[in-house]
Amino acid sequence: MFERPVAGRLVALCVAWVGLPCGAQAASISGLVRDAERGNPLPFASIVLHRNAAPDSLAYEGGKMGGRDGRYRFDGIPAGAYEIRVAYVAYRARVDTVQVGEGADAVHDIALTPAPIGVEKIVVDADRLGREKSAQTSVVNLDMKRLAAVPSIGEADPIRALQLLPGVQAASDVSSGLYIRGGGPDQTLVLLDDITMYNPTHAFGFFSTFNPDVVDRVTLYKGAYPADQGGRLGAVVDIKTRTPAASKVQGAGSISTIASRLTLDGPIGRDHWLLSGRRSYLEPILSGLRRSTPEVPFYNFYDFNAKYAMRRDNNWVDTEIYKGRDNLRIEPDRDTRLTIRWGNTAGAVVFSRVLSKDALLKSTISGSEYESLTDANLFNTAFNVTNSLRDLTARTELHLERATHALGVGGQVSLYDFKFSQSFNRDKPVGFRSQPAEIAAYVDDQWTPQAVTTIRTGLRTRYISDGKRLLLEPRLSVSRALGDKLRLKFGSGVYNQYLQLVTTEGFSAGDLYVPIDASTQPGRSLQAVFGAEYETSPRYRFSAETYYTRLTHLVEFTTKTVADRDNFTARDLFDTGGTGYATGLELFAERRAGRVTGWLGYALGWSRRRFDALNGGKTYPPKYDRRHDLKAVLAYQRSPWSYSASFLFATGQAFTPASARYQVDDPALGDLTPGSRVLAGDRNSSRLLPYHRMDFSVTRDFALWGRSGQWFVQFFNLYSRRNEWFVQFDDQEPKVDVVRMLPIIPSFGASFKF
Amino acid sequence: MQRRRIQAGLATAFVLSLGCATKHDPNDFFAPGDVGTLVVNALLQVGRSLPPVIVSRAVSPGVEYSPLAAAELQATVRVRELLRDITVTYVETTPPGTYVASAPVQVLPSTTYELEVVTAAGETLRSQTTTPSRLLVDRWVLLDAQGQTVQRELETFATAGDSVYQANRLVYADGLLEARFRRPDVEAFQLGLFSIDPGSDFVIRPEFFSDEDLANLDRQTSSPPIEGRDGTLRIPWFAFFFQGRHQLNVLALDHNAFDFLRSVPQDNGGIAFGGTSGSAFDRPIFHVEGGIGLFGSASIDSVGIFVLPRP
Repeated sequence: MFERPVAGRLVALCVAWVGLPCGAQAASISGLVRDAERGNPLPFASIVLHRNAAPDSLAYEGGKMGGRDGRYRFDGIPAGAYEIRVAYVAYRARVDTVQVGEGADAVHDIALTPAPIGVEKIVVDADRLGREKSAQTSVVNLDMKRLAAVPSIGEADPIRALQLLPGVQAASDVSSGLYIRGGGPDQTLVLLDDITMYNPTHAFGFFSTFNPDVVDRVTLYKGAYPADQGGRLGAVVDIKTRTPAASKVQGAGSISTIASRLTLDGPIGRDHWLLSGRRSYLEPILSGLRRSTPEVPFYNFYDFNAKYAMRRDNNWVDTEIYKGRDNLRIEPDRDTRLTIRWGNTAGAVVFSRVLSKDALLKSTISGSEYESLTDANLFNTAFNVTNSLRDLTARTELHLERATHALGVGGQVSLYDFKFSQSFNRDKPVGFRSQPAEIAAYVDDQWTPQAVTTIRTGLRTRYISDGKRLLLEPRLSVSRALGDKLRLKFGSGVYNQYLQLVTTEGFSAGDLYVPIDASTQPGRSLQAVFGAEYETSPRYRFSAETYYTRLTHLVEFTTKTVADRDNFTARDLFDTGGTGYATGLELFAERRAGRVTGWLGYALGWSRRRFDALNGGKTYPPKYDRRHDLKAVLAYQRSPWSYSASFLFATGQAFTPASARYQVDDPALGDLTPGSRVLAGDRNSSRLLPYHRMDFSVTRDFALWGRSGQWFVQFFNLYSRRNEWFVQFDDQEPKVDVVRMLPIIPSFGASFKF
Repeated sequence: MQRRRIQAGLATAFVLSLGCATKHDPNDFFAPGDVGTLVVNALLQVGRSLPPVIVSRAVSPGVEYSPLAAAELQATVRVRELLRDITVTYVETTPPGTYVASAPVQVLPSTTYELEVVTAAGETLRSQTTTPSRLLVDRWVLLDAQGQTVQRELETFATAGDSVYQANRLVYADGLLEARFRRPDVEAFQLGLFSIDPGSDFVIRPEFFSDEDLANLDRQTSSPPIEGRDGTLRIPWFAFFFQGRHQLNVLALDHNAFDFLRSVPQDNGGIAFGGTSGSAFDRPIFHVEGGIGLFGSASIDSVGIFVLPRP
């Protein structure tokens, strides 16, 4: 269990920790639980070790969960023959026998075979034990099997699936941006195999950049996340891709109305590889529309993943590359054209080495780039924007386990390169460039003083060269079981946000990241979460969590900066010095086994902000404030058919109403200024209509030439409610335009394996 | 089984019924808390006489704006020039709500002016502006298409008078038009463009514009505030839709006009999309005590050009 080691303390505490007694027993058994077909480790497997009492020895029974990396370990066991029983969601349970000699360290890896498609497929979370038995609050794990069962548009989408959890909302129907517990999309860190993804969307946010065939699991920390991550005020979405380990070349693919994808993986010598690509093909449809409406754009997106995994005894080297691009071109006539290309490129080399039976060293060199390029000629006026953020990161982590402690210690250095340059009318470019560095170190300790109690403490320290800031971020999680079924949890932490995202509602192609430089303070949050989980049986689970987040030094993007400002600072771009809070209650009930599975979640929340420069200094609700948020997901399986439906209901988004109409001339136009002006009322003091929507999907398994596959039909917004998106006021007339979101969108396709 | 089907049917019907409630009461979009607020509207121009001051009241956002109905009558309006300690009283004239200076006082550069409006009901509105220094555009030039070299020097009103339009005949989209000047100490500039030949033909006809779109094109347009840090401003061709004579104004803005322009939702034109939706819909910065509006000043220079269609 190298990767579960959580919890952290100060360095001094680490030193003391090394001296803790390690319960010196005669023997140990350790190993790796993995997928027999794909080879990827299976996190948090349920493992029971059993030794029948021989006439001359004692019986032994012990249970554990595997680590996040699939590894497990039993120390201090008597010598003898053991049964290891391993269970995992959607896999056949397995029982092995292992003989352990006196004082020996037996290594026994366990490969689990996926269960046939059927009732078990989506029965229980992959995080079953990981979530429920660990100390961490507000964490949700979804494996890809489960994500695929959630209705979507064309593509199973890891980010969109998260929007079906209570306390998590979509920015809009066309957005993968997440509003989590009253925070904006910029307050959520999105990681792909520990690499920060700065713009994790395609199609202006309609799809996430994560190819479902490559994703292995998604972990969402809705709040109070641990010390091994940092940099955002609110939440973390941690997406892990699968590690290739197939014994022969195999493939999977999908064809839908929007995009196709193909994934291949297989062995090469002792190593393994994976290649996966996805591309949209909306061109024929758009081309048809363009005949009558010339401003219909040319558009496509693609992404590509490659991974190479080497295993040499106790050493692993994983190399991976991701590249995704969106291409948009509009050429309505010879005087006007617009081209925007944007996307992410990321890569990493991860070296892992087992130093000893209880120590794992993991080092990563990674790079991530987000780039958005705009090249336009608007009525014979050139306009160009180059906007990019690159980071180069080196990270090392050491995971140690001793007796009741699991310790993680790590350090990270990131070099950033922010570039924003815009040129208007072929004038010389203006913008800014900044190349700050960030150094972070963390210590994270998970202490289990009793079988029923887990205490996870951590401290993350960050030094940011911009402004020469030293930030201290303590973290704490406590979990205690009250009997077999009930567990109470508490989590808390301090978080700072140095990178700020400037985004436009409904158009993520121009997302701009700006460092909070020395001109102002980075945002800061203090989070506290208290919760309870109640598991009546393996089938049913109930949970309740309440949270409070105090926010200071907030910034809010301002449109008041002149367009040709050069070398702008954070203070130029943002209203600064904001404060706020988010608080709420989340209830969750889940049925996880049987033909019918699903969940029902409800969140009650409040979120408020206050800036001296906004709303006359009065407190206001941000647009991501939602009082009520209800989510229901239902899946029914009767082989070969599967049906699933989801229903969402949420309080309408806050918007600013108009408070008056008045007339003031444009200085340049004088009394030729047309129309009147609309005066904004109190910020976000009105609400759009409540949002609700139902999605539905039908899937049928089939076999063709001995290969398995599925076809599917999905309906997004089944009853075609045109939910309100935003409101626009008219200067000339007393009318209001309500821009609405998507109607019903059917999609169909097929996925297959070979 | 039968019972389950009935339950499923009822649930479906319930859900479908939810889909019908998609209408929003129009009044929900309005929170008329500022109706009746005093509004002032005046821009002092350096070198010209004190302008009229228009006093009105904000009306309900849900009704069509009528200057007549909004006009504030019988107010007492005064403007005081601090440099020479001159106070000018204003008299009410037509159209209603318009007040003009009782004496022709020229607006001086770099001078502070105070406005005071007292309504018949006793409400008081105050504001203050400090005028920019005088703006003189030294050169109007036509650059090559890449903006690298000067192809042609244009005439100005000072050098050519009213024949400037004939002297400055430019082919649409041929080269780049640029103003060059010694930059006064202001935060920003604004451009104003006026097509002054009513009925002149379009210089381009975008294929994606309908006839209605073309008919709705204004013959005057303005820019958002521009810093023009190096004392140059390039005039975009996208502002030109018509052939014929155009007057192009460059305004050096005072602090009030700058703040108003950069913060008023319709005109912000900043780095992000503005407008009256989402977070961009915010209250402008007025610098008016006891009301809203603009009491600002600008220093203005102009040029005249004649735009020819492309061959």
